[in-house]
Amino acid sequence: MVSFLKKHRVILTSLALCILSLQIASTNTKGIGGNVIAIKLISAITSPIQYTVTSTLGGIKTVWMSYFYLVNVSKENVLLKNDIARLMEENNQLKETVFLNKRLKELLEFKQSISASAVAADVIGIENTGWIKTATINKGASHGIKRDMAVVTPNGIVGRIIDVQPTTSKILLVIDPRCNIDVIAQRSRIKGIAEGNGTDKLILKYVNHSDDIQIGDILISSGLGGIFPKGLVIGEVVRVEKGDDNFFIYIEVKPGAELRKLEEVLIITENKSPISPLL
Amino acid sequence: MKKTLIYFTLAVLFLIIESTLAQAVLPPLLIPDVILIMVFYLGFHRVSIEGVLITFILGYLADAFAGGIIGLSSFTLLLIFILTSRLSKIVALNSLLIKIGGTAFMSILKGTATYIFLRFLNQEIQFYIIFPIAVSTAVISPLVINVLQKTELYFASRKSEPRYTPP
Repeated sequence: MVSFLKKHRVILTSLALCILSLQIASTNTKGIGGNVIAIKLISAITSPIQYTVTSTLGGIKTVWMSYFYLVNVSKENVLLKNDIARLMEENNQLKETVFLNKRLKELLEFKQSISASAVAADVIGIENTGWIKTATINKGASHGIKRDMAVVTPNGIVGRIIDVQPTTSKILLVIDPRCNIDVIAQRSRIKGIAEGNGTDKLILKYVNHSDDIQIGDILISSGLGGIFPKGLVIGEVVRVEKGDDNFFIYIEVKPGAELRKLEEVLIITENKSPISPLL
Repeated sequence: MKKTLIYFTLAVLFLIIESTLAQAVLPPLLIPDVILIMVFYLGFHRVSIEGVLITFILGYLADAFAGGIIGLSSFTLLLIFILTSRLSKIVALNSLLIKIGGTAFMSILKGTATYIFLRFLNQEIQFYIIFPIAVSTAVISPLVINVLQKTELYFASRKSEPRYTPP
């Protein structure tokens, strides 16, 4: 018996850890381990590096767009070229400031338009492994962020906070299969649940054949559940097909928020919007 | 312990690159699964309790970093490790075909196992995404395996250097 265990120790250990992992996974299907020290340590190590790399990439992109699109100039323009290079550099910095200003202004106007307190944050990393769709922001518990707070942009809902560390937080994006939002179609007022499909869209579930839904319909949050304020845009219906079960329709929704271009987001820290009893 | 730390550090670096640089350069469906390549390599070169534990830790790290279901990556990567360790008894990791083909096959297996688990949880997800991920993982696998081999050689050569002992 002992010799059998010794001979197959690698396989037996692997199988034991497999079972342990499966058990952990089955009890943790909706979120991630909240207060595990290892996660805090990983976040503390990786988030400053992520922030630095993301900022550097932004700078490189600006330089690339400005410098490498210049047309070749003649010898008499060498001096002018030097002046242009210097001015371009100043201009780039100003342009980046203008773009940032524009985005922040939109964010501020949006923040003032919603009946909720909110905190702005920068996205420092996006995790797109397989069906997992999450993003990391540079605000955490020390900035008043808590689990299950809604994350939005002027274009629509981005997701909700699923993990909070002292200076960073993780957002579960709306396109992640674990994200479920109670929604209403703006035009016909029919209700359903929008769930991420793990790629780049959401699926609107529990809408039956008799309900009035069509391509182009805008879906908004219903306010039920207490996470997302009522009236925020989820996305637009882009596909309506007969479902496999002949009862519910298969509906695909394109998210309103531009999840591939996330730079700044708002985290709603206090949801003041009342839920209408007539809903 | 030292080797575990080396793999942990490399994994953290790869994950940071994946969440920043890779996102800016590659479309989402072509982001390679570098942790899988590391486990594939471990299945050939670290068929021991140490290899099993490193695989478990890498899986946990991947889930914790990405915000996935904790335990799921550990489970699927351990399956890959078991299969790869069996495969290592038949073939060696010295040909490009084994590196690319083996990684692609293991990536599809891992994707399938993850898909089955998520479907069991009634999540409406697309199966097809595992194929472009398998292709991108396979393409980059020779480079990652090369990095791992060179890292191991570097630390092995440092260990074998005679230490200076003062007179």
